[in-house]
Amino acid sequence: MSTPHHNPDENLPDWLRELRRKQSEQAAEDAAEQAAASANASTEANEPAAEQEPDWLAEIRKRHQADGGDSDERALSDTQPNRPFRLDSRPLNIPAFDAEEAAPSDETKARPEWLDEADDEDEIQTESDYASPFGDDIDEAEELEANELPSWLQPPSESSPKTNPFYMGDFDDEPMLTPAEVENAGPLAGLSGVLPAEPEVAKIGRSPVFSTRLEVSESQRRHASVLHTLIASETETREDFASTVKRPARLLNWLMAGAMLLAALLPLLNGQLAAPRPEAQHLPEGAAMFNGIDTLPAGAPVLVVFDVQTALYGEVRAAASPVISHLLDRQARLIFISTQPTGPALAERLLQSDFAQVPLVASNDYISLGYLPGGMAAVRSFASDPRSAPLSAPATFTQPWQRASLQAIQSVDDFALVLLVVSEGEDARMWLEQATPELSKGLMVVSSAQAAPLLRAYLNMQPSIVDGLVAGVSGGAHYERLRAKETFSFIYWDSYSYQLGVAILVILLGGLYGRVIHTPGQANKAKVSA
Amino acid sequence: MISPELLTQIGLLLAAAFTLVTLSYIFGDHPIFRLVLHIFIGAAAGYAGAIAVQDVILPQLVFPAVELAMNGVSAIDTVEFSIRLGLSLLLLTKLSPRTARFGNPATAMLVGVGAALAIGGALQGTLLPQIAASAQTFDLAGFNLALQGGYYGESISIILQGMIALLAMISTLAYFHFGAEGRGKQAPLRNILVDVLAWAGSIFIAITLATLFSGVLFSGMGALTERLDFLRSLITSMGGGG
Repeated sequence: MSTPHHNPDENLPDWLRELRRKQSEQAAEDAAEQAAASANASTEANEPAAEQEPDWLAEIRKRHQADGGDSDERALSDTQPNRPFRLDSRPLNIPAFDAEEAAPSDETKARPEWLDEADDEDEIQTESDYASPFGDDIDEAEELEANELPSWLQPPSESSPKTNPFYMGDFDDEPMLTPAEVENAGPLAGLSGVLPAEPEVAKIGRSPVFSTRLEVSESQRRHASVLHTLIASETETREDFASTVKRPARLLNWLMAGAMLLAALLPLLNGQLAAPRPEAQHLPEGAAMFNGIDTLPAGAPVLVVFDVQTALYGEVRAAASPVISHLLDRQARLIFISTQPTGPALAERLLQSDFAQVPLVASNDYISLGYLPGGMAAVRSFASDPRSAPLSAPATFTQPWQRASLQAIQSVDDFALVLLVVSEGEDARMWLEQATPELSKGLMVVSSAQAAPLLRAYLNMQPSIVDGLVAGVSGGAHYERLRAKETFSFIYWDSYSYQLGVAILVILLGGLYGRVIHTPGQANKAKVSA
Repeated sequence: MISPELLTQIGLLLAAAFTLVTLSYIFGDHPIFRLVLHIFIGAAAGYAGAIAVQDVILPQLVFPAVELAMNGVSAIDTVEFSIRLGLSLLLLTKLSPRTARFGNPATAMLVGVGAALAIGGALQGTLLPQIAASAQTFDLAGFNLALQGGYYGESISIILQGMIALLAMISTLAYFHFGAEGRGKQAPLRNILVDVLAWAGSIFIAITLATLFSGVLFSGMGALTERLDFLRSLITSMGGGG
């Protein structure tokens, strides 16, 4: 689509046309005066006034002249502090290539590159006539041939408007850049060869019309839409309810904690058994353990793996103590081992705190194999050959395998019973996976309540892996019910039961609060803000 | 010299104080709670380190070396002791980045043995037995017995239990099936049957997670009861109430 070519001055008002004409005449006169002045100044600058030079400058000049007459200009330039480098002073004519000059001498070979560059720069500066910033430049620019100019400095040819993608035909035909033209306005007034600004600004014409339609496929549009939705949802400001919820939430936390503490503490202080006891038929896995222990012969070696973490010792104690008590009543020979560094100490603490009066414990008729380092590999090694497993120092010093109760033990299957006492499900799984292949019968497990869901998957499998399970306070209380021997598990039971009741109440009331009271309030706020 | 009884009393008092400070977290985080937390972590790490030195490094490595150097013989076989010493030294090279590559063989052995044991144990001890147990979802023998004995309610219960177990297994597996058929320019969509089963599976997964969470809650309640009983016993004993 072509646009009719016309003179833009036709559209200008008379006063603006008059002003343009005056500016052009004034600029031409100024350019002529400046050209004459700079020519005079350049001739004066080429004759160094020796009499005006200070002594130190004359000394420098003399020294440089002694080095060679060609270095006059360099000597002079050395005295100029940080003279600015101007693009318009750079010589644009390229000297003819001389092979001899191009070949580097020995001296130049030894010189670093940065020194050569500095010399080149000096040469450029000295070759220019900085005393006359305009006059010779103009002359040199006139002398330049068109093919020596860079493309962006060359005046546009007649075909340029067609080849220029931004040329819409509304501009006047005068070239965009004329090296000889002198700037006549603004801070660059008087300079030649500057890029013209005013004509661009003053030109009136229709702006080009570009298409804003993106060429994208439907799939790209859909992806962009998804991305836009994602970003929009991220940048959406949400109302901060923290300030409104903080205080009630903290108050609720205190209330819940107080209720739980009261529920736990009151039965302990009261000392009376009030909560209903667990029924025997509710935990068949506990009954299986009871039957397994109750049929043990007196003096049977029982391996007790005591893998209990310190933090859960209090809970595991409630479950393990009734079972250990049962084993001691059956006069079983207890052999303790642990893959936890704290395990042997905790096992010793359990025996001394709860069974110090039992003859087998009082007479130290039990064995601690100590800490079994090495994790899974050590468990496998111990299950394959217990006697060659690397046991810890107490076991080494006391030589446990030489004791009478362990004389018959050659493999892990020789133990009458293997009892795992664990606080973490993963510890139990390690023993179940690595030791059961060496066992012809299953293991018995005492665990914390949090490990119980994982361990229930191993109950009643074929082949047998876990034959009996007592988990948590409820498991301990149930086991004591089976034995008809109430000790501290029953004291714990009341406290545990009341805490459970409070927890259920809190969950129910919390759900009610969230659904009935809190959520509608938030919804109303959202409506108001909308 | 402090007597053991006094040390025990000091230990009990410290334990009671630490318990109370830990419980004070109900009122929010504070510097004393953090101090106690750091003491717990430091004590646990220090104890584990001491056990490792006293029960493992000294009797398994240092004492045999000393014995070998002093007497020329050791309770441990020389070849086995050399292997222990060599692997230990190789592991020690991991302390410096420059020599760390020399420890790679020992580390590779540890990782390789651990991985082999874990995979073998999981297959043999967990996956295969549980797959076998899943294949016996319906207790057909029990069902026949109940049917022959006229216990129709029991027989229906066995069937229902089996069906629920089967549904739980299939729907949970369907929940983790993320395959979907492409529909040209429209978003891929799962098969409607898989979608329905996955919805049911999400319910069973939620029940499983709730069970695990309840186990953690039960453990916490048991631990809290034990700590409160400890405080009650201590106060009673200090008050002379026995």
